[in-house]
Amino acid sequence: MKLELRGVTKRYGPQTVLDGITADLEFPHVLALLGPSGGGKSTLLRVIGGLETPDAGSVVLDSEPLPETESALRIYRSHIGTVFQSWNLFPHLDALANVMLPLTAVHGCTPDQAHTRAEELLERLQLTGHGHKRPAELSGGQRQRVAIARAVAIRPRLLLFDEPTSALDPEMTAEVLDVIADLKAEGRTFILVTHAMHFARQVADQIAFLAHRTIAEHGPADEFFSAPRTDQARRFLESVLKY
Amino acid sequence: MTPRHRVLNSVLSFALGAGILAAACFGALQLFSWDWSGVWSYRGVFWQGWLTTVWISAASLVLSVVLGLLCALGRRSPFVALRWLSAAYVEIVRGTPLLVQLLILFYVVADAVGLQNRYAAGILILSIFSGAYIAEMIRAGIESVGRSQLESARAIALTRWQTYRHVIFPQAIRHVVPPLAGQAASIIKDSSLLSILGISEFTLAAQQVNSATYSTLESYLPLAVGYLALTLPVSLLARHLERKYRYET
Repeated sequence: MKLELRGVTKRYGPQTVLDGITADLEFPHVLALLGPSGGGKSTLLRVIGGLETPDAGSVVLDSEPLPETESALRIYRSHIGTVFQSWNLFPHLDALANVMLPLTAVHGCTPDQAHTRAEELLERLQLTGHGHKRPAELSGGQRQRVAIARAVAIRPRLLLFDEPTSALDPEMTAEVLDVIADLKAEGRTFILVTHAMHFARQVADQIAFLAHRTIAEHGPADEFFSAPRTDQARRFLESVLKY
Repeated sequence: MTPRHRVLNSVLSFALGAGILAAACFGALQLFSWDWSGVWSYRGVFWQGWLTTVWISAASLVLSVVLGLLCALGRRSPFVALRWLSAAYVEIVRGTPLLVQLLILFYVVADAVGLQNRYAAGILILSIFSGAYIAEMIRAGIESVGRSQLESARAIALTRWQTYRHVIFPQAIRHVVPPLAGQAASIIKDSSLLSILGISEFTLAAQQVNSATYSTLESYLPLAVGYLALTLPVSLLARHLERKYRYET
C-alpha cells in the first residue's frame, strides 16, 4: 500500500497538531506510527481514516486522493476498519449485534449473512459463547477483540488501530496483540499507532516516527530500530526501550 | 430489597401517610356537617369529567412527545433556521405561564385560524406547552450519548439517520423515559386549567357540581382524590423506571 501525505495540516483552535506533513510511505502490509505522546500520531491516523478533514494539504491512498465532501468521505470510511483505544463498542448491543450492525446497515448484508459472518469471526477470535453478551459483561481484552471483529467483518481495504492496547492490562494486551499478529499473518494491511515497541518492531514493515507535529523520519522497521537517523528518534527509543 | 419490594414499600408507606392525614382532617372537620347526598346524585358528572381528563391527557401526552421529538431534532439540525425556531419555541413556551398560553392561543390564535372545536384546541395547546419540556428531556437524553459513540458510528459509516436509529435513540431512551413519566403526571394536573376554556373535564365538572349543590368541600375533595388516583401510579412508575435504569448502567 502506498500512502502519500502532501502538506497535511490540522489545527484545533489556536493549536497546530499536524504541521504540514509531507511524506511518501510505502509498506507491503503494516505501517506503525510511533512517537511521543502529543506528537500527532492519533490525529494523523484519524485523518487517514477519514474521521477528520485536514485544514490544509491532502492524503493520497494508493493513488486515490481522499474525498473532501462528507457524503464521499462516508463511503470512503465504509471501506476502512477502525479500532479505537477504548474499543467504542455500542453498549446497548451484544457482541454479535455490534459486529453485525455495519454489515446490515452499511454493506447491504441480509441479517442471516451478517449473522453467519459475525459468528465465524467471533469464533476465530476465540469469543465463542460470548456472542450474546453486552460489552459491559466482557473483559477489556474481549471487548477489544469484538471491536477488531467489527472492523474486520466489513472486509476493509485498510485497518487502522489507534493504540489498541493502551487501555488494557498486560495479560489482555497479549491476547489482543496475538490477534493483530494473526491479522498480519493472514496478509491484511493495516496502520497501527502503538506504544508497544517490541510488538511494533516485530509486526511492522515500515515505521513513521512522529514528533513535534510532523514525521521526523520514516523507513523500514529494522533500520529504524537498529539505526535511527534523527536525534529525536534515538532519544525516544533509548527512553522507551530502557527497561 | 428488590425493586418490586420497594414499590410495595412505598405504596404501603403512602397508604399509611394518607390514612393519618385523613384521620387528622376528619378530626379537624368533625364540626363540619358533611352532606354527601347532593354530590352523590351528580356522580355521573364527576365520572364523565374524570374520563374526559384521562383521554385529554393521554392524547396530549402522545402529541407532546411527537412535538418534543421534532423540536429536539430541530435543535440538532444542520439548518440554522430550524435550530433557531426550535430554541425560540422552547424558550417562549417555558417562559410563559400555561394560563397565558391558553388565553392567547385559544381566544386569539385558534379563533383566527378558525379552529372551532374547543377539545381539539385544548389538547393542542396543552401539547404545545408540554412539548417544550419534553423537547428538553429528549435533548438531554440525546446529549447523554457520548462523543465516542458518535465517532464509532461515523467510523462504521452510518448515515445521520442510521446513527439516530441504531446508536443514539436506543441509548437516549433510558435517560428520557423516567422524566417523561413525571411529565405525564404534570400533563394530567395541568389539564385542569382547560376548564377555563369550557372543556367539561374533571375540574369543570367539580365546579358545576359545586354551583349546583353549594357543598364546596364535598365537591372538591373527590376532585383531589380523582387526580391523585391518576398521578400517583404514574409517579410511582416514574420512580421505578428511574431506579431500574440507574441500576443497569
